[in-house]
Amino acid sequence: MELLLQQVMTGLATGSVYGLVALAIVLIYRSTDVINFAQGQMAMFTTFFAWMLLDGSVLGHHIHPMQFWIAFTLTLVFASIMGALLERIVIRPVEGRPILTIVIVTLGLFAIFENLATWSWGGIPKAFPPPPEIHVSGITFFGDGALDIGPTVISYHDLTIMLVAVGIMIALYAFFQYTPVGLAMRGTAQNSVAARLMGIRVGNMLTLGWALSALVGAVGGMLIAPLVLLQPPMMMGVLLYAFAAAVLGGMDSAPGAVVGGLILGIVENLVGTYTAKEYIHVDWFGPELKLTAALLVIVLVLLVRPTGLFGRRTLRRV
Amino acid sequence: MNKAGHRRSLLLGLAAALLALVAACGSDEGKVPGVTDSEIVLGQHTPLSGSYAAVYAPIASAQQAYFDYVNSQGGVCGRSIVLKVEDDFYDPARALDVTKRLVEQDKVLAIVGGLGTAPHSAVYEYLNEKRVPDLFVSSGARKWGSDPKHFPYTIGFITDYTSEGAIIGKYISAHFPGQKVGLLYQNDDFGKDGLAGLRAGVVAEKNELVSLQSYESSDVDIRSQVLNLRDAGVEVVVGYSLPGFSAQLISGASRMGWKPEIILSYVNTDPVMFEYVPKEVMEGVLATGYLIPPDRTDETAIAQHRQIMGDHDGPQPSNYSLYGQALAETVVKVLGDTCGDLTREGLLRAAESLRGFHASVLLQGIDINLGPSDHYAIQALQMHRAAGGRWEPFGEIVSLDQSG
Amino acid sequence: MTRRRVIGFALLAFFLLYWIPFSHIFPDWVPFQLGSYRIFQATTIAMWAVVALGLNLLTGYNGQISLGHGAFVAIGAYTSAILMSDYGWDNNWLFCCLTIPVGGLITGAVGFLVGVPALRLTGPYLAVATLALAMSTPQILYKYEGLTHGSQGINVTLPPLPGVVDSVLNQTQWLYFLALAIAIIMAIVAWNIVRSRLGRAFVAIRDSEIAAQAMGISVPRFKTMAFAISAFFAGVCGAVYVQIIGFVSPQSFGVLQSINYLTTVVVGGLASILGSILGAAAYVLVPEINGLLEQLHLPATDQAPGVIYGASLVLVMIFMPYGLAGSMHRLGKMKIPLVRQNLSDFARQIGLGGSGPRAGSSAAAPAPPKDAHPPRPPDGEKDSDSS
Repeated sequence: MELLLQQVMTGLATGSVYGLVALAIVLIYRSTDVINFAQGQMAMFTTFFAWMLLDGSVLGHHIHPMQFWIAFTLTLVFASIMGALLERIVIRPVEGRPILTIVIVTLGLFAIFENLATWSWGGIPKAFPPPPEIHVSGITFFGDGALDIGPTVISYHDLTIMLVAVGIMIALYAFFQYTPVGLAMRGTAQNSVAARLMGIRVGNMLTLGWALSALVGAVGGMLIAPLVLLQPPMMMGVLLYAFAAAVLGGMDSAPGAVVGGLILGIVENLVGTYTAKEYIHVDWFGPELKLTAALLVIVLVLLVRPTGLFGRRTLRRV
Repeated sequence: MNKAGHRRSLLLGLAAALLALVAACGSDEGKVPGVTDSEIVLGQHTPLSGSYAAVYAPIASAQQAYFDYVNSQGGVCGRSIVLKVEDDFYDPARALDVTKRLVEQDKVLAIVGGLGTAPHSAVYEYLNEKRVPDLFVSSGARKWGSDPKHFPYTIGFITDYTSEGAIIGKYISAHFPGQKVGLLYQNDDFGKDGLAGLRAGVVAEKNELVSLQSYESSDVDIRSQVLNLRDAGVEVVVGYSLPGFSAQLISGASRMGWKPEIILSYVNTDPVMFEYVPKEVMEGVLATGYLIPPDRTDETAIAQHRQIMGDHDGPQPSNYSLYGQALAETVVKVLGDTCGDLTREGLLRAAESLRGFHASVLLQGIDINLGPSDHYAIQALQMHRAAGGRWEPFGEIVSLDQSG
Repeated sequence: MTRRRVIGFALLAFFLLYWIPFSHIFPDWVPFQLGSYRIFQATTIAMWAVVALGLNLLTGYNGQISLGHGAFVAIGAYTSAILMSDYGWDNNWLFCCLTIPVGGLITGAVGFLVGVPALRLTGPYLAVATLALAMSTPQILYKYEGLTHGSQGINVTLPPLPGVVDSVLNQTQWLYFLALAIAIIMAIVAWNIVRSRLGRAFVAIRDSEIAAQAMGISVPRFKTMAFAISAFFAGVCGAVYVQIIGFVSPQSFGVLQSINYLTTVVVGGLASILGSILGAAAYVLVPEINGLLEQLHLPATDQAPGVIYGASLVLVMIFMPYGLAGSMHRLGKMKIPLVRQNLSDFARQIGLGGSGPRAGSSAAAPAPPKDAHPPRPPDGEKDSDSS
């Protein structure tokens, strides 16, 4: 029983990592209708930027290593600008084209970012410092310690990631649902001609969408890097899981992204644990197929709810 | 009108393809492929871009740097060594493509250091067919040296993962008898070969393999696997894992308050591990290895290595750069041995006659021996212990070498 | 047949049947020779063209995105490899060639099975579901190692050439003609599908499922058929791959390769037979650019190929929205055929480069805006019924 609970807890921790990146994917999809394959690499790139500031070596020149939160904030600024520029320079020329065209462009960005990062910083994984411990009114965030919840243990770092994921999720949900800007973005994605007629500056909305998405991605990257080590392919695995999580939850639902991620994390862990030879005595299934099993779960869910758990059913009118 | 226009565009398309197909094919007409009066041309396929490149690219640049150094000292056989490195994206089909280009267009003397089990598997039969020396494959698969009769031109380089697993297994049974053993392994040929070796090496009566946990290289974290290992009561964990995941294993165990013996594969004896995991936590972790740790700057070989890498545009010193230099040194030695007969056959014969060659960066006591039926170059390992923030080799050299 | 056509055909035949495979034998007959390496490259272009054709049928003509075609190629390849290495089909060339249709059919069946649940999914959901297929393939191949030889992969040995052939061709040339023959056959099959009722149904479904249904087209039937046919092509490609490359492993057909196939098709040109072939050619030949860079002594770092590849994807998509084939057509002042008319009409309606309404349903090619009338042929172009 204890193992089960702990595996679920660990699954929640890993799942919130997926959910965090999935939020960035959902953000871009909701605001620009684009599946951004370069999301992971953008996050990785901005995390390298943060690493440069924290390490004190900016492409060969030495600067004083910065305090974590200063570097963090500067990186967020950098990420937003990078996202905005990408939208203006690379995505804008293909705006309005078939979705596949834009997808291929994001794939191109994917390749560019990854190789650019390898060229700039080399391929050997680097340790990325975790955020320093913060104490706020008795609650500890980050840091090396761990919290005991009943028979399970969860580290403060993981706990904070979960809280951050949930926090961003709530913020995004509120943003899209209740703020004028969020509403404007949704309108732009659904029908930009109509949006223009309503006086919405479509171009700005798209740029804002990419900037925000890059920002969320950067947050995700910097929180994940202490776990997986900083290297150009670092976000590859996460990205695929994040896509799966986003789709499971519904591509246009921020809560769905996080819930999808959590479910994915838990299912994977449980399959990985309880299909070992000790538990089931079959040859044709086992923990090496846990990714397959998790993905199968997603496909089955999609069959029942084709737009994900919380996705909006699109009505197609003739 | 429609169809004629269609023909026209089809033709235009093919004309374009034709033009692209006929990129300049430069090939020097030496009597022996890859050898001119001033140069020896060698070829290599390795990933240069993409996910795998990030990790393996330093190997190729270390080799280039070393060859550069040798050339600056006059070269070998009075000629400069030119290493043509081609990007194979770690894809077997692409590896075959660039290897054919190296052999048929660039007409290299030999392929050295072909990297990657899967990519090279698509290539080695072709090389043997064409009688091109396929020296020092950078991959831990057994097949490179296991069949010299059918594949006489292929020679492996590093201790293969299965043999290493067996060495680790024997070590466990000798030093930790009666304890439960668990394995964390990467779900590909690296991990699975290790698993097979471990199974073979562990003495069944002394140790039981109670838990096998696999992970994918695309996984984010492996805490779930670590949990399962602990839960199964494992006392000795073997890690056939890449440094990033080994670090998670070690940190994860420590955070859970679990203190098993940890033995890692030789890909982990890199000082960089101490950047990933604090040295107090690393204390006591074991691993196999065959290279002098790159932070041993007091050793002449390492100091020289750093000098060479620094002077000739090489990568940051690490296990990968040392590996690259070890490979390059062996190539230079073999070339030097065959100056009188600088042909493909001659090169292969020289390689097979290599006895007791100690590449400078190998641990003391580890030599390279090859023979007509021994196509494994490095077959020895030494245990290392993490102590005080460094990897310390200890104990005796375990060798699997059959030939003298 | 017009004279132009005859000349065109003759040139094409000369190029494919003589220049590529034989030019190094009779160098006086051609201005410059192509060595055996180039024959190999041409062989791989023919091979990749087959999967590109299949994927194009599914995604370009039928509008269903598949990021998982690596799985289908893997099925065809492993079928062929297992038959050859474990069941003795590598004893003679007849059986080796038989593995190609067998691989194709088995893969086609699997494709049909995949197509059934795919009916429920569209757009990003379908894309990610097929991506999940691609992600799972290596795991499945590793797991069932009794059948697939697991992480060791399968090396196949080809049988010696039949006596009749042996005196005229070497193995490289033989494989070239084999791949070329398969590619031509599959291209003709694809051509015929596109021009038939089947093809028109595909396109109708792509452009508007509801309208297609209203016209009496059984959408589920044709969509699953599209998957099946596309998988068949991929399986054939996989079996040919085994003959040419001679080795398969779980890592040969992963997510990256699946994504590559899609990129190839889009860059070559969606909904275009020529596009599939050009895309395959680009896939094989673009990495040579780095070699060119080196010759021109431009700074070519190790990572340059990757950056160039990425940049070329972006640039091609920006400047050649219909892919290479589209630009070819425009160069040849070709009239855009019916099946691609909707693409171009829609693009014209919204203006290339402006942001336009994008329907949420079809993700492969734009469906007409919800409030627009069915597109009419623009001035100066006649309806044509060929493609």
